[in-house]
Amino acid sequence: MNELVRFALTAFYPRVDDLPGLAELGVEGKIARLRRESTWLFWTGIVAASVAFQIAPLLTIRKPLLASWLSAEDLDRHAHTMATHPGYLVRQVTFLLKLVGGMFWGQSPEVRAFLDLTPYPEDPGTRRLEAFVPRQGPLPGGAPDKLLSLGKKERALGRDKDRGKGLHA
Amino acid sequence: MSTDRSTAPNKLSDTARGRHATFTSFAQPGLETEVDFVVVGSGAGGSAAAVVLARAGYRVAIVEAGPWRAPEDYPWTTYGTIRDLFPDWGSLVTQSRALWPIVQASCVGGTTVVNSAIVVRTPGDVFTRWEREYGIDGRALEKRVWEHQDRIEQELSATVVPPDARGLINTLAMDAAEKLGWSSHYMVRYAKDCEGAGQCLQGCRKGRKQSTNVNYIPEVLERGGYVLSTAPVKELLFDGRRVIGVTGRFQDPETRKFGARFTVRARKAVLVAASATQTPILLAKSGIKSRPLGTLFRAHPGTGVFGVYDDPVDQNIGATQGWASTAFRQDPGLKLETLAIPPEMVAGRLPGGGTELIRRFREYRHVAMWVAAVRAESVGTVKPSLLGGPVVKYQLDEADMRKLRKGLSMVTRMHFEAGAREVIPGIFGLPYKIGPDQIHLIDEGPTDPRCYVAILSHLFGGCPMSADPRQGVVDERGKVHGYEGLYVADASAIPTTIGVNPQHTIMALASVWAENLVS
Repeated sequence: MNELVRFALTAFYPRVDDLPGLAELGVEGKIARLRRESTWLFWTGIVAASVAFQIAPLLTIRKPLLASWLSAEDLDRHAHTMATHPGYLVRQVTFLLKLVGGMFWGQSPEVRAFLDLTPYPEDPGTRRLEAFVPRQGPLPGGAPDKLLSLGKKERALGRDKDRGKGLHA
Repeated sequence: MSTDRSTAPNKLSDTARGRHATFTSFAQPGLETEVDFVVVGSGAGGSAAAVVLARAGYRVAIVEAGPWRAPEDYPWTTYGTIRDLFPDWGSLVTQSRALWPIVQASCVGGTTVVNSAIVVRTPGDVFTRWEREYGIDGRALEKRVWEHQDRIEQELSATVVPPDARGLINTLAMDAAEKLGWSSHYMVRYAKDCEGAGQCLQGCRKGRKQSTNVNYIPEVLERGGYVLSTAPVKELLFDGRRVIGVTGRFQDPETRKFGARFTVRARKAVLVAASATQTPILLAKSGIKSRPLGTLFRAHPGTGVFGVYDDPVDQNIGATQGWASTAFRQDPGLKLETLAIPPEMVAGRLPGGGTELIRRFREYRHVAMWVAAVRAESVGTVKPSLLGGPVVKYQLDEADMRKLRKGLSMVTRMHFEAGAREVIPGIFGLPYKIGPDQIHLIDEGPTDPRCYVAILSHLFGGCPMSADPRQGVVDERGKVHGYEGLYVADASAIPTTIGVNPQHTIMALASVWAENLVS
């Protein structure tokens, strides 16, 4: 099952030039985790979408083959055509695959580095268990330099004078 | 697994050694307690009502289906957000021709944890309409809502997005609006010293956004109240036509298996504030008899276009949402605003797949997303499914679709005014990118909702307010017609769309209704 999902997700996010593909980014572990953590309904949706991806080449590129039997070039064309197919349900099925694959691919350190972004830390996945949860104030910190220089320009344009125009529609 | 059937229930204070009780293990004992008021749901409505009651000296218990995640628990990634903060992995969609996702959180603080905390006062014409169409004393309600909005703005630090937190995605929108001569503004938000981390959607780990889980709910605890988290209410408890409490089972947020039973009885009243999709379901499953229950469901559906700029915009740096225009709220019925989404969401949102999708994604740093939200008049329903969850049937009619299309055309025009070289409309049937001389393609675009990738984020109705029990589930005090001790205190009672972000309205309305109970 995981391999079926892997095949579909990686087809949507292949390597292109210096941007690594999802297949190179430890996708197997991510899929196993998704299967473990997501709801039955969500996982079933992903599996069903992956099955649809396998059997749809006849619908997209007019080839009566499973997607896994396609050449790399045809597979790429199949993925793109599914995502832009005139049939709404086909597009919706694809959207689910793109959403999950996009999360795995787009939040990887390699892709974030390409965008000049620092890697995401690990999601804590924690929650409050204690009997009393105190109020929390803001943490220390400040805006990055890029925002500060933009802020200077905003002030120079007099755009810091608004005292709440947006409060009233 | 141990439940209350095998283990004697404890008092809340014994079980929790304090005032927050949550799922800890399948061996934990059941829980029974009695308070003055039970509030079901801890989002904008529930928390605002609870704090008013707690300040008046009443013992209040907030019962929340989701877990309590403080800022240090918030996820960084979209994956973590969907897993940790959204109910059922964000799988709730409208079940009509178009399957549009419904964006809501399930955690202590509710959707205030993941929204942009945008503050807009309830427009006066909304009260006039409620008076005209639903028999509400609009003038009296308006005065009291605005008084509470004054207070809440002070308490939750409602401030304009500071210049140092805006980011190009927002300043470019202001540039465009100024060039077009459109009235617009930098948003007012419940945020203290925002530094533009661009993490509103994942929950503000810096603690700058004033979600109710960092202020009102801890205050309820400090005032002697209780919070039950991971505690989805299964049903209301009745004594004849009087509602006397709630019951359900604690739920492990990881395995979603149910544990010990909890029962919280209310000496005075139960206020349900579980959201526009959940409150009607809880009432229906509990056997509330009301013909309008689940009707008049409404929303502000929205979608956006990406402007592509020569220089990097880096939409992820700066306030997630910082600019808006409400100038078109009445005619044609739109709100325009900025919305930055993280790269992993853009990857899924751009049209196409395979190598073409990756080529398109390479422009991420150069794109800015601006959206149009429709003040829709279309109505839908919220009913329980066979499995117990909500089934939302909702679809924009032709007139509302034209508004949506108009809004997208307007934000596209703005992008070109701001210097975008191209725009990605994301509308099925249109080219992937259009130039400034092709805006008419959007104006003439499809009105089939299936051609748009939209979301529903501002939800109203399902338990609409009306003086007439044949038209509304609750009266103008939020009380459920025909029942004693049962109130609704969330957006499900709002009978119309309001054309602005609803959090401020929900909080103030819930405060008014809670204040009625105090007096």
